[in-house]
Amino acid sequence: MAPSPAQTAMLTNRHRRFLSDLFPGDAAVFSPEKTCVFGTDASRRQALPAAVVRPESEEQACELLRFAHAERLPICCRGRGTNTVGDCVPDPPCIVVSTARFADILEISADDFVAVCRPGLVTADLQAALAAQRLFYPPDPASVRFSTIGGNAATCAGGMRALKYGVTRDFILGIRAVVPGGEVIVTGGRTHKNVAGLDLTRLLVGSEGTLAFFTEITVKLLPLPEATATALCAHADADAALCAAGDVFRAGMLPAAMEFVDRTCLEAVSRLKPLPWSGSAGAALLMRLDGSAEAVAADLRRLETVLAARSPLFVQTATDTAAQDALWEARTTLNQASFMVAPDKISDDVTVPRGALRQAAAGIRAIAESHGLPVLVFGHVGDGNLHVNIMHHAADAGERRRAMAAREAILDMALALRGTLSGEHGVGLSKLPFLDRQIGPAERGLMRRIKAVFDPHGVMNPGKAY
Amino acid sequence: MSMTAPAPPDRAEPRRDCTLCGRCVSACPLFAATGREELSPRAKFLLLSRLSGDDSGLPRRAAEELAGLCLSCGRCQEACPVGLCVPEAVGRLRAAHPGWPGFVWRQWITRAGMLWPMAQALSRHVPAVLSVPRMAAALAGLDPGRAGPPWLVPTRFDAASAGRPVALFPGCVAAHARTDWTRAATRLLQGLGVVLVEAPEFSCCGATLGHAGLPEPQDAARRANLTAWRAAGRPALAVFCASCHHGLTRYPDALFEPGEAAAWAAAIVPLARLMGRTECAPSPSAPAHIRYHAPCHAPPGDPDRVLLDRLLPLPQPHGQTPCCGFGGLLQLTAPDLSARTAARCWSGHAPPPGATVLTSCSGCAVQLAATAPQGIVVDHWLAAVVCP
Repeated sequence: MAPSPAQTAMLTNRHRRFLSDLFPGDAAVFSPEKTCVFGTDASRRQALPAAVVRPESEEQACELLRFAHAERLPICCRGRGTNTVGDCVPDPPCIVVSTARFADILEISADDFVAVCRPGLVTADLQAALAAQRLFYPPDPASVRFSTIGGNAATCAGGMRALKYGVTRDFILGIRAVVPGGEVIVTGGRTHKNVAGLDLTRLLVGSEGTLAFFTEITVKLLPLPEATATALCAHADADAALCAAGDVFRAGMLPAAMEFVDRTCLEAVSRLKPLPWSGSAGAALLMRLDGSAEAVAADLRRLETVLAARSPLFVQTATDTAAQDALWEARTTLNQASFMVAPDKISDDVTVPRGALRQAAAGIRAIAESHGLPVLVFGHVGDGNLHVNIMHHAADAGERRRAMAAREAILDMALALRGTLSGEHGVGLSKLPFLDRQIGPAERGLMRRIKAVFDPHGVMNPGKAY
Repeated sequence: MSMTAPAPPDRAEPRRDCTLCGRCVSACPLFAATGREELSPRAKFLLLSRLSGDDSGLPRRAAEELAGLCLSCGRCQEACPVGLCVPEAVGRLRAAHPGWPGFVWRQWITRAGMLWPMAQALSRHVPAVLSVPRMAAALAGLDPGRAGPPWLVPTRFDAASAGRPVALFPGCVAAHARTDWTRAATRLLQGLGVVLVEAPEFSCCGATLGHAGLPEPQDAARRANLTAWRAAGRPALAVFCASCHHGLTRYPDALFEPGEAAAWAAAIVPLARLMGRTECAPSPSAPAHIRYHAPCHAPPGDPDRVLLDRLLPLPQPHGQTPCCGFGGLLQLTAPDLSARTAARCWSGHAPPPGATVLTSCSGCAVQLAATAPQGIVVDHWLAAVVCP
């Protein structure tokens, strides 16, 4: 089948020969039935790649970026394509670089408390290897079992444990990367503190594939906590739940995770499996504690006392793994449950200052009612990051319009509360149209000029993020 | 304070198409073995949706062939938040495009009674056949003559199933090739005190036929099995192959008389579960190192693992084992992919030299025997059972 005009304009025979030589055998892919999946991600946008390559060495990556820069051919990096805002979608047509074969753990050092790995490694696989040595890499984005360290670094992924530990950028000590033109840079290092020069590592983390291709990521490790415990409580309404959350912090406690699940979510989850309480609740809170076994037991007792003071409808705690997992189902089955409400969703992850969380939750509820659509609200109550799923039937034009309008209203409301369009997912393609509502021209100009220093010909993930 | 009026009930139907979330990619053994995302379940659903939408940008035949490269292991369905089943989707695709490999697989399965012993005899008596390495390896797992002496001695049988009418469903491999497994299973059932019902010969459970895109032979096999079951008085059906268990537990409601479907579901029982608290002792000739390969299609709770964990010194803890890569029809359409998946499975197991690997699925037993590293013994655990 003849390539489309966009592809033909993009890749000449000479380009294809170069790529086939650099990535021999099945490591370079051109035919559309094979490349098409590399043009999608969890944003469900789709665009056909010009080609797909699968490097297995840094040398290949260097040659590729030297070539891409010289020929002005766009490059789009891809871990497992689980990004939700279109960062992995090659629009305009790009050469997609898959890290599927670039996924080794290079080193785990229990003495230095670092690990060094390739970008294609699935984060949960890293954590499993570390746990065998009683070591711990805390960031746990919801996609941790099926997304990669490289992808997590590119988006500065968050997760439930960010409340206590921080996000991905707080756990990346150094990155070895290839910039357009083929040069290798090494940012940061393997020390847990490092203030020499400007912090290029932090610039790269969260850069959404626009600056460089990461070849080695050095992560910071902690000792693996001995024990964990979970508490689940249900409240009459969202406000009561969020007040209870505040009580926990006011009592001087810092759980490892504190998650909020609203009424619409609970109703959806209950369609999969009955909730552990009878009657209807307006919201639930889920908390995870970690630490030594004695400390966790003491903290759990303290937590139960603090929670009881608000007279919740229901409280249950657990210390063994299976029982904890069962309690967390109200949160972990949400993705599956959401599709019981409606077939399509618009997902956002607005983040507001922590003190504005109750107002934000109330604002979203009001927008949901005025637009007549079910909106699932859940998230990381301890850091003001709410996940918002606007459920609708995209096939119904009217509903689709209302869903888009609701989404825009929610983003504007979050910004009005001095929040941000995205706490974790990134801007990608999906939020780019709204970026100037949050980032002013001076700052955006700086970002673009910095990118131009890394990428003078604009080949790295063009048209994305900023 | 309620969020908003819920959607009207008739419109709140659960989503049944792929959301491209990517959870399946990490579950897929074919992706794990090759690093080729175009082989992942997500890619298949994308291709199938483009093919059904008549996407002129996609070369049809190439897309269909690519989408048909599937091990049918079903791990993607466990990972999928909307419960989509790639093996079923690929089965339908293959059915829509029958070809030479499908024809051959159909003959191989539906005429197993005649073909497999013939293939065995050929490989034993015609040395030229053995000079084809793949052929020799593939037939090795089917040959009861290669099984080592058994070493697991039942010492005390659980009496909970005594007096219960039970028929044995051996599955294709045990019925037509590894009759030693059938004999061992029969002896165990006798020891358990069940009333062993002599059933007429069962057909293939139907699973591999459906996956291979052969719905008519699948339907014929299923009906034949139901007929045999009814004629035998609807006894419990003891199953010792995980793939058979998977196949038998998925018969569509339309095949049953009213109320019969529940009786069928209740009748199918893994032999390992019937074994209950039966005690066995390894004889002095038991292997020093034993490993268990958990099949992708293990019944819920993997009762075979539970049984073997209790009877044998299996290393703990154990996670999910990798897919063996048998892949049914893939043996014919893409044997290299099957072999690569097997290679990855073996590096995952990394058995110590001279180890014995036991499994609870005929397909796994055949595939692992065909691909085992030098000196590693592979068999269904029944082959280890000493029968008086």
